[in-house]
Amino acid sequence: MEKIVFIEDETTLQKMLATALTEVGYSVTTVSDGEAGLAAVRAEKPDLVLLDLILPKMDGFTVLSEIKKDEATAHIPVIVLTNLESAEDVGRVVALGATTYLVKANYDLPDVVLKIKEVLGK
Amino acid sequence: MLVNILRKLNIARGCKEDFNVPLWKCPTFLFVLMGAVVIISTLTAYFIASRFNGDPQISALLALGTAGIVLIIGHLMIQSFARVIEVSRLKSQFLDIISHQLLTPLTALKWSTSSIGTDATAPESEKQRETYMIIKESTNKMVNIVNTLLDISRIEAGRVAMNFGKFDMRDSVKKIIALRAHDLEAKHSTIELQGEEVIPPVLADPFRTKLVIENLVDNAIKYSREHSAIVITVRQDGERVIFEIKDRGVGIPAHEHKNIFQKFFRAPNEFSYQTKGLGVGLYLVKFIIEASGGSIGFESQEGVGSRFWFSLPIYK
Repeated sequence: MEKIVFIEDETTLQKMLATALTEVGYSVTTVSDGEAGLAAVRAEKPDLVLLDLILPKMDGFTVLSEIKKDEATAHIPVIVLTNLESAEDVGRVVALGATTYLVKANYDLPDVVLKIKEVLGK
Repeated sequence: MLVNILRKLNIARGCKEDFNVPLWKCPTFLFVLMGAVVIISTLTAYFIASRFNGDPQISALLALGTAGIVLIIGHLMIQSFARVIEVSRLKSQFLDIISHQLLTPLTALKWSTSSIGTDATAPESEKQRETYMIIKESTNKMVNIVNTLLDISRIEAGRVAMNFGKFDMRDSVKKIIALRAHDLEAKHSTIELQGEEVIPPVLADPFRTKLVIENLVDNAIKYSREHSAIVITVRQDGERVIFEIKDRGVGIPAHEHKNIFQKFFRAPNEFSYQTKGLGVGLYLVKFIIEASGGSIGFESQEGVGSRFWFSLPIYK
């Protein structure tokens, strides 16, 4: 079973997407702040990280750069799930090595699951 | 302390961080520039006076006094200028924050309604199904309004990130029409989709192009008369795909044609149709189409109706 670490501080969104992903057969660990998220990624070495950008304690940009800096976690694909969509944010996320970014409000839930499946090659 | 002073002395940086405006529009820079101009003109006046007047000191004092007054006036002027910029910056910041705050609950709403029908929450009765459809349509409208406001503030700050990909225009048009069932029913109107069934995909930003089509479709519905037919045509023309929408509605008076793509423009005669709107739709539509390498245009006659079209390059 493929493992996903999902870092999101909005509990409603976190619960909805985590449930949808569990239903299609993924093992999902949910974390609500940047620091705990980074710790979870280091401990679990998941197959995929879902990352929000605005997070308490440590923002998503820092979490992403820490994941990509560490040899043990650099290979893990990271999907940035955000509602930030300015050229600067997108540029920064891409430069830091995110696999892709999804603007949450633009997608229906089944489409988000589909995109995640695509990245995991399922 | 020293760092702070040095930071304040770095005008270019201050202009970018504090005001987010180009150097020539930045009050701090203008003030320094004004000071420099005043000093140079004072010195010039001094040299001229010393050549043609027996008492250069008096001339210089006079010139310096004038310069001092000009400097004070200039300073006051620029201070007020800075306040105006600050207000405008706060306004877009406010818009940005509110919009982002709204997006989170809206995303939850959108995700909740999108899973209806795919799991155990499937509506049981026809009435429930209709209620869910209304929630879904309204949620999509709210997401569009917030996205439009966010994009408007991004255009102003030059921060729009176009996210290009493959986009199936005909398929998108069909989905958008399906979501307008209630609006059309309320007006007893219909939308007919014409053109070839199979059209090559275009190269565009899928979400923004969808927003463009939604804007044009919503305008056509809003401004059309009751019991009228709206016609959409999607067709290929060489290396481009053309979208065209025709309505029989209120139309736009000829003298307003030049303003139609301006921000916050609403034709005076549209209020007779008591419609609501932000007045930024077509401004954003034009920006998106042009940023995608496409072109856009319209024909309209007051009291007869309008025809809007845009073209986008085929995806290769």
